[in-house]
Amino acid sequence: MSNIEQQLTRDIEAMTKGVIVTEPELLEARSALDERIDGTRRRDRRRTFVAIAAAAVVVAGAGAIGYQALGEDSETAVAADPAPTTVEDPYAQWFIGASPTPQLIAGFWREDNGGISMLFDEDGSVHFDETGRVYSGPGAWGTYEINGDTIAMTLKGGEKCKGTRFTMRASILKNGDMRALPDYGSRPNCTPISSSQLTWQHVLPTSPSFGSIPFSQETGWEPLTGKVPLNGDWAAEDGGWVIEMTPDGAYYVLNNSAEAVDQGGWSRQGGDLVLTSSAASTQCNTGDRFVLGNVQWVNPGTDVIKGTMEENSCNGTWTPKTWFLIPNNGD
Amino acid sequence: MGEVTSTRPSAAAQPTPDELVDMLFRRNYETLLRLAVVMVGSREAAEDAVQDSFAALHRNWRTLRDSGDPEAYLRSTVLNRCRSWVRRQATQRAARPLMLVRKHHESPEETVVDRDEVGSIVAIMRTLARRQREVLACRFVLELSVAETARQLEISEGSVKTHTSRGLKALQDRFEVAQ
Repeated sequence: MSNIEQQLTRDIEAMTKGVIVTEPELLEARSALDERIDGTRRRDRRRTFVAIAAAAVVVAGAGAIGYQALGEDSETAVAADPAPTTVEDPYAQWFIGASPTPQLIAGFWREDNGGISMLFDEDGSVHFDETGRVYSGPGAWGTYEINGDTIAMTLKGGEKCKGTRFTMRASILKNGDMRALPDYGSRPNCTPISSSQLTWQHVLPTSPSFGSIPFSQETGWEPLTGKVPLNGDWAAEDGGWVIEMTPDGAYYVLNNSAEAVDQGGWSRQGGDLVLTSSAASTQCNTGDRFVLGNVQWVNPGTDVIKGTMEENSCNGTWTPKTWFLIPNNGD
Repeated sequence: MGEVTSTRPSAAAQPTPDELVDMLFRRNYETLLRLAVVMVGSREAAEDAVQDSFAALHRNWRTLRDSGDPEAYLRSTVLNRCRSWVRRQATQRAARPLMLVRKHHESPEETVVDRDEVGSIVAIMRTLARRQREVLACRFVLELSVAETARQLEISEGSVKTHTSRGLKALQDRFEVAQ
């Protein structure tokens, strides 16, 4: 065992030896758990109750026979009251935006204050990633369909959980953010996304919420060195574009609809960043070059680069001078 | 006298979800609490994460009953809840309008660490990348083997070794910086 392993083991022991649960504490904790479980049951019962109520109202509208058949059952008797239209929704204040549609959710999303990216296509496909390769090499991918305010997703590929279906209740706010609450049921680890309330920012098409930081006005710029890795998803300062650069030297330029308009190979040449189009590019010819010269770097919370446009033989319109790395959880 | 055999019908012998949750609670609560304390550094938040995980287990019991390993589910859920808690802490502290995270500094503990204080290395562990800290938690807190850790996190044994090695290296580097 190495020195650091021994130190870590000792530190964990020192820290956890104080975590002792006495029998009264265990009983108290168990009682608190019962309260939580009972609270959930009550909510579930209320939902069932209102569903029965709604059904009963329909039956009552069709004729009184159905109602009478319910007999003396107190819950269903009360359920005949047409008044109960409110279901207790613990997230009512959270989901205050528009319900998702394929058009509203299409594009590139990043987890606010997190390292996960998500890409929805209107054709019903979805990518998830936490390493900066959501377009070209996502960690998981699948299909989705929308039912009301819920996006139901089925994983088709990735590291794990192929075939798993999970849902994400979502709403889209006016500033373009998406609030979401994933529910994995009994499989909590099928995507990098945790099953807690999350806010997603729309990178492409760029939302007002996302394109609002003047990175170019940061101070402390330094020449870009080889120590700063360039692989990952880089967003243009003013929005509208993302360049995904992979560790193996490929790049993809995504437009505001998150479609690849150019692709090829990237390299560093001295202090320059050079993108050279390949035959797979849809808008450029093989060998076209986009050169961002004299690249400078700063990190005010994420890596930011800027440079001068020295070559753009494709006449591509993805010519912002400042780009920032969309944070990811990669090593 | 011969062997005593149960005369209860087998269906009646099936414990209810409440009984099973109770049994799992008694067997695992303290271990999970230790895991959560290491991951979040606060006993109150750790208790909340563990309670939440048992409530989720109860809620999803029907699905888990046939296919799942409830103890593995509990460990996963505790790790997830802890991660969410740390994220929420970071969100509350963030001042920038676009809450970009500074790589490796996601933990509320940040980087200022007193090396002689109990929990100082664990605090650095919380600043590691997610997979690294979860692998280290499985190996060093839960004392799972490489194979068990791989099953727990649903990654390959090779990935467990890689994340362990990188995590320990990063821990060493950051600990030296903190000295």
